[in-house]
Amino acid sequence: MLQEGHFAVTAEIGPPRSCNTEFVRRKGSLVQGYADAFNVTDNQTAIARMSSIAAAAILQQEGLEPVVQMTCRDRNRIGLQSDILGAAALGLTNILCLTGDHQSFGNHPEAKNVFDLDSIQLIHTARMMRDEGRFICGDEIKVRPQLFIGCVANPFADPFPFRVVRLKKKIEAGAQFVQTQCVLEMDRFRRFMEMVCAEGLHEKTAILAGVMPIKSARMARYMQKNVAGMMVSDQLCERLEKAEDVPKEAINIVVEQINQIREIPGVRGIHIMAVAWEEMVPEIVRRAGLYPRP
Amino acid sequence: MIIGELKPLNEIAAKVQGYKRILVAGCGGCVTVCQTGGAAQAETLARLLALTLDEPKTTVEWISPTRQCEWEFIEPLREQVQNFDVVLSIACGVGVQAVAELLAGFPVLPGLNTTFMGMPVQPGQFEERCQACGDCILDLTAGICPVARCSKSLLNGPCGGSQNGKCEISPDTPCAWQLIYERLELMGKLENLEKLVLPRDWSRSRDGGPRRMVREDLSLDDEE
Amino acid sequence: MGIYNDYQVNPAVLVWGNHTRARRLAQAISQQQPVIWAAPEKPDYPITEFPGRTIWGRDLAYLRGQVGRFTIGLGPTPMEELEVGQIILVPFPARPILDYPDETSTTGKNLVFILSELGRGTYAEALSQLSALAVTNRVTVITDDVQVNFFEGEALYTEARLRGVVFIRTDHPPVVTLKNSTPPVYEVQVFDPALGQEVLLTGDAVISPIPSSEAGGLPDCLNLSTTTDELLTHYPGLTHREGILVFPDREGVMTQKEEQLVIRAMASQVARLATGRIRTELYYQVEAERCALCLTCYRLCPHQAIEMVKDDTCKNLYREACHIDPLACRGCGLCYAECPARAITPLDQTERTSPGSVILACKNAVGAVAAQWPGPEKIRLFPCAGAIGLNDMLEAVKTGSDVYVIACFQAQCQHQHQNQRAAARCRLLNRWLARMGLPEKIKFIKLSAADRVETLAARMRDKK
Repeated sequence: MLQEGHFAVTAEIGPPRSCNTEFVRRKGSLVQGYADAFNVTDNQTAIARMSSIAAAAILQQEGLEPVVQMTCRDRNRIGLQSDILGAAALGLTNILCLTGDHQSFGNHPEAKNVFDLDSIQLIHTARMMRDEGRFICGDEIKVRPQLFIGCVANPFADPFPFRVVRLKKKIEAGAQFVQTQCVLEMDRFRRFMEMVCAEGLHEKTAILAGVMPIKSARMARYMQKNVAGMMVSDQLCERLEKAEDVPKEAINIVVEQINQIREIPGVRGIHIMAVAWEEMVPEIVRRAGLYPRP
Repeated sequence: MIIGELKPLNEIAAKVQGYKRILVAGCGGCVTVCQTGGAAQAETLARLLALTLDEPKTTVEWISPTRQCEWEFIEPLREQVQNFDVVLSIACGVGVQAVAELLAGFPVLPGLNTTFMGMPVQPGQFEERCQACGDCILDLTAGICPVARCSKSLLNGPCGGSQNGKCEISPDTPCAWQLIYERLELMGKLENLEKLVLPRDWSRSRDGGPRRMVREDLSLDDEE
Repeated sequence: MGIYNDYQVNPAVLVWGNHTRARRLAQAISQQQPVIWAAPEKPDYPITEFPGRTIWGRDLAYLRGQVGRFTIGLGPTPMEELEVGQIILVPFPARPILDYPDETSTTGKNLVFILSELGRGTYAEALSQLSALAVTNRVTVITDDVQVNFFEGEALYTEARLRGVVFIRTDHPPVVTLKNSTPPVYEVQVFDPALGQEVLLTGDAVISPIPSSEAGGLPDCLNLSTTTDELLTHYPGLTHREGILVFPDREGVMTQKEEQLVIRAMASQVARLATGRIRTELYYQVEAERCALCLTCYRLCPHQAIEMVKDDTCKNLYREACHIDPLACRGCGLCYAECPARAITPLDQTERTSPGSVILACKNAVGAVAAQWPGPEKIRLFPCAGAIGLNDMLEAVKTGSDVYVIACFQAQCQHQHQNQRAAARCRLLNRWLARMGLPEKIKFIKLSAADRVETLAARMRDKK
């Protein structure tokens, strides 16, 4: 899809906090056809859930194209390399490498953390396993995993000038596609993309801008103040505060954002993070004029 | 106390490459006690570096403050570094960071690897004893710490790799749980081991993020 | 170049052991200074007219302090503490010792020998002694077996018989009682199988060798060197700790004459300290404000001469610092070489530092060669190879030439194998030099004071 030059759409599906496979299938069917690939999150916000590989395998059976997210919080290099091989063996070749939220955000704040590797090292490891057929220790992998390696980028974290450097490191390590943190502050994102293009990074990788429909004004304000690494513009908050039909306004905002993002040079697609609001994905995609998918 | 080991000298030599005036800084605290970062070692390191560097264009001198981890003791360094290009600190990581913070912007290099918290078991031999996990259970384990001294930090007794009192990782490593078992037996408290120990809270350990300790009475804020 | 100083010392001496030689030693010392005579077991022979204090049935539990002011804990509980200046241990001899009267001054006496369960050597010694005594005394021998299977054994036995010695061969142990009379008289009752009846002998003295199985070790709490051969051959019984002496026990049987010599030497040794006016030589001083209280010197000192002393005038963080006891220190300089805080410095640096020296030598090892050495390499003398620190070696490396570290042979080190430590330091420094891409310049050489200049030259050539 990306190679063919289409404007790509990805969405996100969170596995359940149980082994309810029906739940996974239902969520899948809700959004099937409205995006090119679907990220399956890995114990998002450090809450224990069905493993991303298992949920992705189920979605694959249903005919969806999953992207397996892998975080460094819960597994050391042995576990991560083992799961990369396992996912690839199941045909789950899209992986997205993240460092992962600290466990203090989740429902097991008393857990030990691992962080044996960081996201950049994980990207590097995955690429080495695929291209050189080697584990980190140097041992040979006879049947190499076929992988499409992704990473995330957060233009809203500090120090701002370093964000492009970090993305560059990820691309050098082997990231083939990038999904950004959700863009709720368009000016900052534009400046980020200018720097990315100046470095020529948009030509070396496919950058998908994150978007997120925000259900309520309170949530917007909360994210503005309390969530690390997020920026929410006042303008956005005010629009939601003034709106009569808040959910409708939320969708309006997302669609407008998508239209603005499509104008920004270097962006090759969008990534829709409709956390706990997956049912809105079809409408967003349709209204943004991105349906049907090629 | 904190134990440290001098970095391999070739690494140190490579780090100071290009600097003309080097100040080696020892520390009079823990690393003096473990004989790796005291005044004598600072002098030795300075002498060794002087041999490899191109004297007389290079100067290597040494100092050794009482403790490198206290602002008051390292304050004189501000003046002392005027004639140098770099500080090579052989204090523990705490000392290196304190000096680097004091001299913010001035190059401060570590010459020591901080290895563990432990004690001398006999002259010249040191062993790890504590991992600063933030939630001490030594009362349950007969005064022997499984978090620091069991290779897997297990909490429910020796694993299947314990044999002849040794840990599976090496015949030189005593199995901490074997030691605990023996001492509990001595105390007639082997029943301590029968209880199932549930997953513990690591949030007070390093896993919960960098830690700080506040003594309210000593750290009154100005607003109070 | 020592100087005489007045020291506060406790003149009291503890003599530890219940062997008869312990009694004689205690007796001899008691004529000059206070003595406490003690042992874990009460002696099984009569003690008459001992002027000092005696303590029986206690163990040596701990020892604190230094020569001149030891505190000894006597166990088991309740603990009793003794204050003494010096300690002499009198272990049971490793070989049997006979308690022979002097044959030249003993005449006209009734002497009873009891020779039971003895080895050949002891028996031979006894036979020879009693035969000599029989010239002027009446000698009776009670023995479990007349042994003659040694050099000239048959002749000695015949000679003794000719001199009138009566041999009673019996498996029954004799019963000895002391009659309360002046002078003391012993009654010995024994069953004589030849006569088929009990006989009663009287004697002015009963002489009985001690079976070698009763030989004992040294109390653990004193931390004395365990290499007893080294310890016990020193004369007059010096150990590596000042103020603790061990009755020497040389090869072969010690006659009473020899024993008297040893006792005299030990008595004069302990008398020297009791005066309090003592010549001491301090090579090293502690700069208390630098002391990090790391205990390195305290743990390593081969003579246990270092104490941790609390002192409010101490300008360091701890108001406590290590202190070198001038009476216990033998100036080996190990503390100087190992102190990580550089708190211990030579007192007389100028005299012993010789700039440009590349031969760093233990003065005992290099001996007279130091004065005769033709050069061109300069020699810097240290009191012991243990004092040659890494920084001293590096100072020498600066010259650019090879550096020779000279130490004693293992058994000859006066400071507990510091030659090994010096060798280990040389290896470490060479490893470090190699790590930095420099040649391994430190050459370790063993030398003895008996060696000549040519020997040193040859060994240096070998190391090139």
